[in-house]
Amino acid sequence: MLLGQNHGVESRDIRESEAVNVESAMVGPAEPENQQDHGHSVNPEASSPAGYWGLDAALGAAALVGKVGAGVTGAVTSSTPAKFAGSLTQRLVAPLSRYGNDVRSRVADGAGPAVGDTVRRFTPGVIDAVDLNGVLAGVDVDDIVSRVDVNNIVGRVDLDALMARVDVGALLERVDLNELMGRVDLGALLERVDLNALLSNVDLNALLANVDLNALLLNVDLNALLGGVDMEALLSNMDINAVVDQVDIDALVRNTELGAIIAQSTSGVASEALDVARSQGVGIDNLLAKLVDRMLRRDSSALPEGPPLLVGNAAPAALTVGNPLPESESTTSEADRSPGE
Amino acid sequence: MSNAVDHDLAISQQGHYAGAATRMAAYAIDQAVATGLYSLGVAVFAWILTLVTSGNLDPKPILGFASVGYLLWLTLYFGYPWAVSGKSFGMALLGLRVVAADGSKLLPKKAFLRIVSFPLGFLTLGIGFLGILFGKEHRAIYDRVAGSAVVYDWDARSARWRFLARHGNES
Repeated sequence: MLLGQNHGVESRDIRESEAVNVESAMVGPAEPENQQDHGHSVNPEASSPAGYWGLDAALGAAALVGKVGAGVTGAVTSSTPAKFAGSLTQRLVAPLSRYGNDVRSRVADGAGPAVGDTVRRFTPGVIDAVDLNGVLAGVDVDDIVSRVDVNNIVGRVDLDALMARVDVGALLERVDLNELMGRVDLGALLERVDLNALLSNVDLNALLANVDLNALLLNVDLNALLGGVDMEALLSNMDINAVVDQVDIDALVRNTELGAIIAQSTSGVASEALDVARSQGVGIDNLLAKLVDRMLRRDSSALPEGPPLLVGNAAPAALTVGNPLPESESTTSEADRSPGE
Repeated sequence: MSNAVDHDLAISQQGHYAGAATRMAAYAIDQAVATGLYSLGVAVFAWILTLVTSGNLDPKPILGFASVGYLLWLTLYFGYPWAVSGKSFGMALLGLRVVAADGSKLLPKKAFLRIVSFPLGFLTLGIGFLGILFGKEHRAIYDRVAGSAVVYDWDARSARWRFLARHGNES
C-alpha cells in the first residue's frame, strides 16, 4: 500500500508538471510565483482533482483486458469451429444487416445538415480559441516553399491556352501609361543600352532613302537655327590657320579684284623698289650665312632661326603690319644670361 | 621678273635674325642720313652764328663742340627710334627691327644701353661686329651688352601680294 501511494503521488506530480507545460505553451511564460507553486513542496491534494488516479487505474485495467481479450479472440477466431460459427451467424443476421444498412443511410442523409449546422455554430468559437498568430509563427514557410517544385507546376500549365483566354486589349485599357512612364528612370534605362551595337544594326542608307529631305528642309527655320548657334564658340574650336593654309591666296590675289585693289592701294615705284631692295638684302644675307656655315662646318638647320618669342610656338603672326611685339617683362632675359652666346 | 623667288625667301624669314648685309646697308643709310642731317644742321647753325657774330669767332672750340654735338646727335638719332619703335630710318627702309633677345619689345633702357655700347664695335677694331657675321644669332658685341637682337620686320607677304597683283593685272 505504501508503495502504491508513493507511486500515485509521483504520477500526480508528473501530470501536474505536464499540465503546467501545456498551460505554459498556450499562455506564454509563467509567473515566478506559479513556478514556485509547482515545486516539490506543493500539496498535491490542494492543486489536483482527486479523480485522476482512479481514471488511470481504469484505463490500465481496460488496456489489460483488451490485450488479453485480443489474444483470446485471435486464438478463438482462427479455429475451424469459430469460422463455421461465424459463417452461420452471418447468414442468420443477414436481414438484421440489411435493416441496419437502411438505418445508417437514413442517419447519413439526415445527419449532413445537422452536422453542417453544428459546424457553422461552433466554428467561430473554435477560430476564436485558436491562436492563429502563434500557429503561423510556428510554420516554416521557407521550408514549405522549398519543397514545392515550381518548375513542375509551371510545366503543367498550358500558357498558350491561358494567354488565349486573356483579353490583352481590355488589360491595356486599364493601364495608365502616363503613370507607368512616370515611374521609369529613362536615364538608367539608356545607360544600359549599347548604342553602338544598336546603331551597327541599323541600315542608315535604307533609312535615309525613305526620308524626304526636301519636305524636311522646308519645315526647318534656318534663321532660328543659326540664331541659336554660338559662332564664337564654334570658331574658337576651329583651326583657322589650317583652313587658311589650304587657300591658294596667290591665285586669289592674282585672279580677283582683290589683287587690283591691293595693287592700286600700294602702287608706286617706291614701294616696289623697296620690296626689291629688301628682297635682295635678304638674299645676300642668306648667301653670306651659308658661306659662313660652310666655312665653320656648321649645320645651319641646327642654328636658331630667331628669338624664341618670334619663331617658337608662342610666336605671333610674325611682325606683320599692325602686329605689336610682346612686351618684355624683365630687363635681362634668359638669352642674355646664357654664357653660350 | 625673278623677284618672286626673293619674296618667297623673305616671307619665310620674317622674325628671323637679320644678316650682315642688310644690317650693314641699314647702318650705312642711317649713318649717311644722320651725318647729312647733322652737317646740314651745323651748316645752318654756323651760318646763323656768322650772321650774328660777323665772322669773328675762333673755329677750334666750335669744332670741339661740333664733335661732341655729333656724338650726342647720333645717340639721339639711333637711341630714340630704337626705344620707341625699334627701328631707325635705315632699318625701317630695309625692314629691320631691334628687339630684346627673347623677341619681345626692346625697352628704352636697353635701347639706351645699346647706343651707348655701340662704339665698342669700332673700339675693338671691328671685332665687335664679327658676331653679326659669324654668330649663331647674328648679334654684335653691343647686342650682347644690351640684350638685343635684330630681326627682319617687313611685311613681305603684302609685298608678294603687291607683286602678284601687278603682274596679274599686266597679264
